[in-house]
Amino acid sequence: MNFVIAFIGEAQPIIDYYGLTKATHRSHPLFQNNRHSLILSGSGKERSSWATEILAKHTGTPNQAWINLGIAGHGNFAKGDPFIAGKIEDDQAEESFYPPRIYYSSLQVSSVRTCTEPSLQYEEGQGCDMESHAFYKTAIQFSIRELIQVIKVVSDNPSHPLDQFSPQEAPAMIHQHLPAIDALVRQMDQASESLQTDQTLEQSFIAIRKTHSFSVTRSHQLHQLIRHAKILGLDMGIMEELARSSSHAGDAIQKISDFLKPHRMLG
Amino acid sequence: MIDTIYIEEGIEGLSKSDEIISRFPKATVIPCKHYKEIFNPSGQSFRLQKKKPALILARQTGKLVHPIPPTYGVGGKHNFYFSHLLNCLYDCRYCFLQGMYPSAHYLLFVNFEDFEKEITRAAQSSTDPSWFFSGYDCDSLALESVTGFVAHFLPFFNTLPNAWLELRTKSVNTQVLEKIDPQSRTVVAFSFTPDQVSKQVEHGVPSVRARIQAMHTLAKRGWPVGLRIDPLLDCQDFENRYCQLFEDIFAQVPEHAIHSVSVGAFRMPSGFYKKIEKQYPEEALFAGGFQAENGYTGYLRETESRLKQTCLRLLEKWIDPEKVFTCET
Repeated sequence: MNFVIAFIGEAQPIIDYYGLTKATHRSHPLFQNNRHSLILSGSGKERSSWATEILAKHTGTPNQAWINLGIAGHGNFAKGDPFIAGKIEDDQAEESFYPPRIYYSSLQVSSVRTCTEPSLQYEEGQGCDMESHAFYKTAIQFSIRELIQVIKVVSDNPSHPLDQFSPQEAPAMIHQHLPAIDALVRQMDQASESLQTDQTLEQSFIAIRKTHSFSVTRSHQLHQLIRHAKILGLDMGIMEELARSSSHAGDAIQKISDFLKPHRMLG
Repeated sequence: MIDTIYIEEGIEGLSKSDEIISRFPKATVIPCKHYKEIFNPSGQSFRLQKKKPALILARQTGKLVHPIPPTYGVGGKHNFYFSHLLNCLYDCRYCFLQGMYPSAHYLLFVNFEDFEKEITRAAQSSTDPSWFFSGYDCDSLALESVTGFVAHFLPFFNTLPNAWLELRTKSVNTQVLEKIDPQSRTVVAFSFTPDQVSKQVEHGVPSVRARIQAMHTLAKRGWPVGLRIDPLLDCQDFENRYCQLFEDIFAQVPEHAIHSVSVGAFRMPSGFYKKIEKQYPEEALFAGGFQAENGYTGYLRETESRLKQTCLRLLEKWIDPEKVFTCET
């Protein structure tokens, strides 16, 4: 999971919960373990967008899960209530985002509007923050929409306006919702993993490709054949043997293809 | 079943919209300007969305009734399809919808009256019978409890003397049809693959046995039923499995109740196929030795011919060949 969070006060509960440690990065505070990364973006659209891009390039793998977590105002939710964004609007952009709701979560759903400046204008049924739209717009360049979500905890509302909020309240507010956040994190990570490349297949492919000099087109053909062989439950050792006993790459493709032919039907 | 409903701002407050939303009191309702904001964006995973699709309520505009390819009919001269709903309750791995749409959400167009107007115009464009196929982009019956489609459209079709309607389905949700008198120009067409194949590739679909039972019930009540052996899928023990399937069906459904049988091998536009294969790289079906030809991906010509000929030969035992139609690409 990649977390993009504006301030350390909002991030500290996540850092502690997952045991993240500070990593070296030249432009941003970054915290990591072997499963999760967290970047502190600072406040506002541009900073959030920039940090998202930095983290995407730092981690490098496509289709990872992403969460923008932080505090937000809300028109009617109580102070301390968490919510997940069902619709993300922007005060300056036409485009809205609708993070697909494919996970089971106890979190309430609300729309959120990303504003350029802190706002004391609360709208019924809507949250207001300063990062989520920019975060989402950037994150969809690096992952699919189902794997990008926004979670906010209400820091202020018409009864408790922003000018009465102290940033020191943020860690405790987020801390109390960690079980719900973690439940979502687990589902999102699982969804992300289901989309990642099959490493055992890649290892078999690499081993067989080494047997001859395969052109780009033939490498593609070979990869498809090896994938089909695996789906059909055929022994990868036989594929490798067929390739080794071939005189050249084209011959290997032909032999493996011929071997697969009688197996190519549903069980 | 549905816990998120997106609704276009223009149809909020319509009685049809309110009626549907009221069936899901726990659902979160999220307004949008246009359904395309949710349904069309790139970078969505059909596969992940299929685990928990949302419902989108929208108004369809533009052309609502379309001609079907000439080789896809069941004997009619004028053939059209219309799609009040995009996407399906079921998750059949061979289904072209997975490659056609960027989203797996159920997209329901609630402006049924606009569909009716266009269907009427199309039906009146000729005195010959016109066929209307409702199950191209969805299952005609499976989401009836949400859409109310059949309950709404059957009385309407009854008013069009030369219009035939095909409800194509894998659902056993036939209560709506059991409550009303059979309509001679409405064919309830059930799709089948053999049981062993269905279990591998038709996820969430009622069992073959349950579908045969539903077909039996409707036939007994006097509804014309159709049999759709489409897609034909190559499998181990192909002839015996299809032979058994037909024995099971015709043991329950008399030949005279069957309006038509259509047979078509697995094939789809190559662009759709590539998208689906990319989403399900571990799927056994896609190791099936298909080839791309003229923009379509399907079995090799000789394989397709063998599957079709075998199937047609097996059907000869049970049904008048004049009732059997083959679908070609």
